[in-house]
Amino acid sequence: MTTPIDDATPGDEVLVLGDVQLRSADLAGHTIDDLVDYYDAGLLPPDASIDSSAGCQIALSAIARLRALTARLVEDDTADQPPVNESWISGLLGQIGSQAQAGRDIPLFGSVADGGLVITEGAVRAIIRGAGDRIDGLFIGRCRFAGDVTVAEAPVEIDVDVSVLWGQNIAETAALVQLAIVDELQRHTRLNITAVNVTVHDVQRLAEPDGATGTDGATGTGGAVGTDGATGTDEEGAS
Amino acid sequence: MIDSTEADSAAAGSIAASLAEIGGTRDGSTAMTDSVAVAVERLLREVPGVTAIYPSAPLPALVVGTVLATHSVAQAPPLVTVSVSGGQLRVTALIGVDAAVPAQATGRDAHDRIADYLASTGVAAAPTARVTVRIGMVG
Repeated sequence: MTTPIDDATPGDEVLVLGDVQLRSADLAGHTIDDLVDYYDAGLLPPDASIDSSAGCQIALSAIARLRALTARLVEDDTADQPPVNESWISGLLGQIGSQAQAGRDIPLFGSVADGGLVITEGAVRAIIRGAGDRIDGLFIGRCRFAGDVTVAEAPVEIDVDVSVLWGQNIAETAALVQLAIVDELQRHTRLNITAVNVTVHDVQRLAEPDGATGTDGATGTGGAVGTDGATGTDEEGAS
Repeated sequence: MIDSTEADSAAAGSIAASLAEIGGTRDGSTAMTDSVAVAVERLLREVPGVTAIYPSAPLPALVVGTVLATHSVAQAPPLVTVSVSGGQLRVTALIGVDAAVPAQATGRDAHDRIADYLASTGVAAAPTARVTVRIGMVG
């Protein structure tokens, strides 16, 4: 698949070398569409440029999670029902691309200047997405860090947008994912997490009695959970 | 401590000798850094919890290196980046790790094994090597 240069979004760096145009360094020149095609083809034929790229592997991991979630929607689709909300999927795929970028180096010990061990923002986002896997019927979209993650022990708040399947108790789901994220980040990193703010961005409906399948416009913001275990709740519940 | 293969041991002497000659020819320095890069890549593959080693060089360098390798002009660039600056050896590796093990523990293990290896080859006898391990993927 070619990468049309005029599709570049603001801030998306394009590298041109001869007749080679690369959209994003972190996706080894591939687009998310390339990676979706590669995933859907069963990762065949093997593509070394994808298989040897950390960013591509992060994106493929997220694509696999999204595919698993949307499969549950498709399972309940029938011929006379509208298809799964494609714009919702497209939006999440777009986020996967940007979220797979390596971003800043987060110190684990030592420093970038003097050598040591660091973890990329992209890898930390992969951890957060992995934490979301522990929660049934939930997909983590955008994830942002508020605070200077490049400074060891600096306080950091984490804001995540999530989509949930219809039928989940949003308050309980938000609380579960907050705790899962804190647990995983404390296990893998030395981030000083002061809060995890969860925003339920949309609710995806499974088939309803009238056959409707689509996105509920409800948006709720979960409260912050700190390392002291205090947990906030969402006000909007889908069940 | 990592058990060095015979090839690694043989490379060790030449690495130390090459370091002593830093400032000599560019080709000689490149051969030395490539030897270290290959040895470090080999030992990283033995570290429990390390699931992948990704190219750590900047993208333009990777593209140029890959194009040259494709046209048989040069060998593909090593995955691990090794350079010498101001007499200091700098080693940078980008790895993926298994989520089942704490990433910081696996990364620390990888870092320490590289440092131990450099010390065992005599490289660390030169100005202290700077070893940077970046974890680029957990899962």
